[in-house]
Amino acid sequence: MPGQAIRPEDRLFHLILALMATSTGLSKETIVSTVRGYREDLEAGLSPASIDRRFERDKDLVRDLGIPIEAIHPPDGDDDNKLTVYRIPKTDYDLPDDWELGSQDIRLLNTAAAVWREGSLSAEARVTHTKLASLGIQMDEPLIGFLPVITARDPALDALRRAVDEAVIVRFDYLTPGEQTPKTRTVSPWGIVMHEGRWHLLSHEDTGQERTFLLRRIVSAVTTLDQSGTVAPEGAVERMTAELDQLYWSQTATVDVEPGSGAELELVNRAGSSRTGTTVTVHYTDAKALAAELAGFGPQVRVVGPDEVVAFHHEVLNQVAAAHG
Amino acid sequence: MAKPTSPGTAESLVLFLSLVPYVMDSGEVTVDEAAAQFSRDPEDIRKAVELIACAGIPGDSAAYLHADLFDIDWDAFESRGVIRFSHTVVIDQQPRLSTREISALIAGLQYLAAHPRYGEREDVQRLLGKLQAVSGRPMPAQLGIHSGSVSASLETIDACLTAGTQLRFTYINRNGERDTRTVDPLALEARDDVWYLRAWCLLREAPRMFRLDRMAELVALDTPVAEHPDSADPESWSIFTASESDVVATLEFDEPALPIVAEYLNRSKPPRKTDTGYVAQVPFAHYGSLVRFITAQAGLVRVTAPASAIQAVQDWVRQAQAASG
Repeated sequence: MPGQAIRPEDRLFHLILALMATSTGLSKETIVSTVRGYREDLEAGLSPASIDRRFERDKDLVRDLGIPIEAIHPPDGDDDNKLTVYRIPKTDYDLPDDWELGSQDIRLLNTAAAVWREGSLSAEARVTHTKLASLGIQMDEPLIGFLPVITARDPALDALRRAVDEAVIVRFDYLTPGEQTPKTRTVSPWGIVMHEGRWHLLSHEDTGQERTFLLRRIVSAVTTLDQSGTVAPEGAVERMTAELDQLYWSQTATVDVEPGSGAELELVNRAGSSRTGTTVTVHYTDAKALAAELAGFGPQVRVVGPDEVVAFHHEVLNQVAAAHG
Repeated sequence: MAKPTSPGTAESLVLFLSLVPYVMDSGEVTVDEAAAQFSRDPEDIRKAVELIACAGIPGDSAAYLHADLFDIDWDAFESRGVIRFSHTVVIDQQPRLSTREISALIAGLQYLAAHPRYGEREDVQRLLGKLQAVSGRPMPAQLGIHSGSVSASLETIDACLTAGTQLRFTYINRNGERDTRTVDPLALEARDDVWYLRAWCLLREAPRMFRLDRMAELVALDTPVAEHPDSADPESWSIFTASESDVVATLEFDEPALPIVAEYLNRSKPPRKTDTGYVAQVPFAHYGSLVRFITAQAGLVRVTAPASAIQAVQDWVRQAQAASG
């Protein structure tokens, strides 16, 4: 159909089909001159540089969906990419048949994907749903009335997850809780964990220090450096998560609460809280984060200790007062 | 790095790749069946089928000859909306899941497991094991969900939901008002680590969302629940419902606070950029929730209007400071 633009998904579909049909691989030149979508671009006089960029983007998008495009470079080391050929090995494309997932497993996976239906992972969740639906199993979970959702609104989440997957170094500005000016950080991202309802980045700084960051406090875009980072040693992510947990359970703050107030109820309902009269002992991970949370309760709470939390609590109230003076 | 040009492109592409094995496995399906299975509009499915039916591989001649293309029974498709392939090329299996998709599914399952009905299930644990084993290459826990222990009220509520009986409890709303509610429980929901009960409130004669951590003195009653008109469409229930009694506050903040207020901005129009930062109009259900939000942000977010809202924040902070001594 001359004159009619070919939609990107049409071109990508043809690229995948062509790369799966070849066993020896196709060079970029062959792809551009024969595959539907590319050929039309070439004939329409699109510049080679533009076609090149389009091919690179297409490869990224296809790989991003979990479809492996193999690049075979010529044996005599010359990095001349005119001789590089591409293919998609069918065995790496197909859903592995040793999965042995039953209908119930598929339904569970579909529910697990739906957990991400809001926020920055929602497009990916829809892709997963589509792939699972293609197995032809009736997808409705019989368990109605439970619709959990992970909001995944932190803008940094998706970029960091990609960086973890690709094991590349990232850079971002970070606002330490309680401070007013952000600092630039450069780290190898190791893992992302939701703990106490907040997303944490577990990472490794080039100084050799392990560092945990709150995603909500990342105040710039996340820049991915074109540089491989350190890879988490086995079990490191699990260990750092356990450390967050351990921190929560090892630290307590004492708070006097107004009897019958919402503060009393919410604080008593936190994991591990105990109460004696109008005094509630709560566990926490981050003193500054807890102080801000307690400040939200206004006069319904009086922080008794430790001193660190008392001081941060005062500071937060002063900051709010100053901002509304 | 890989950044999908437009999510629509990737989603359409995956639909093509998934439709082919789905239709092949079933022999034939109707457009409506496929639309239900993939949660798409029938029109999307129709367009996808039309595109697939004309697609194929370049072939030896590089000319996309008829034998190298998909083909369908056009008659059945056009007259009865039945999809049946008369010829297929290359693809005959479901596309596999990417490592990122698998890590999101593992995290989603971990999150589901916090629910009493999922956590106990052996199949959930077994599936988690399977996913970790079949992901193809060694994969550290890149994305983790660590849910704290959930409040004890969860079990009482779950028992009522299972039995289809009413629940009575004391509730304190964000404005500090305390009363006793009798409700017909409809569903448990979770957003990140905050749990809610979706219920028909007999006091208000209306659907309501209750935070589990603001509930106390729960009593499971024997009275069976009644039918309620709009309970069938759970997605129509949201945590925040705009109403005429809302306090609409003008909030000002700097760029670093954007992700922090992102959740609240969801309720309003996108923030406006000014010379000094950002401005947004955000509705709150009452002053109680407004002052709590503002105070917990430690001065990063300022209220600039209406005067009554500024006054409410000042009073709240002053009382909090007085209470703290």
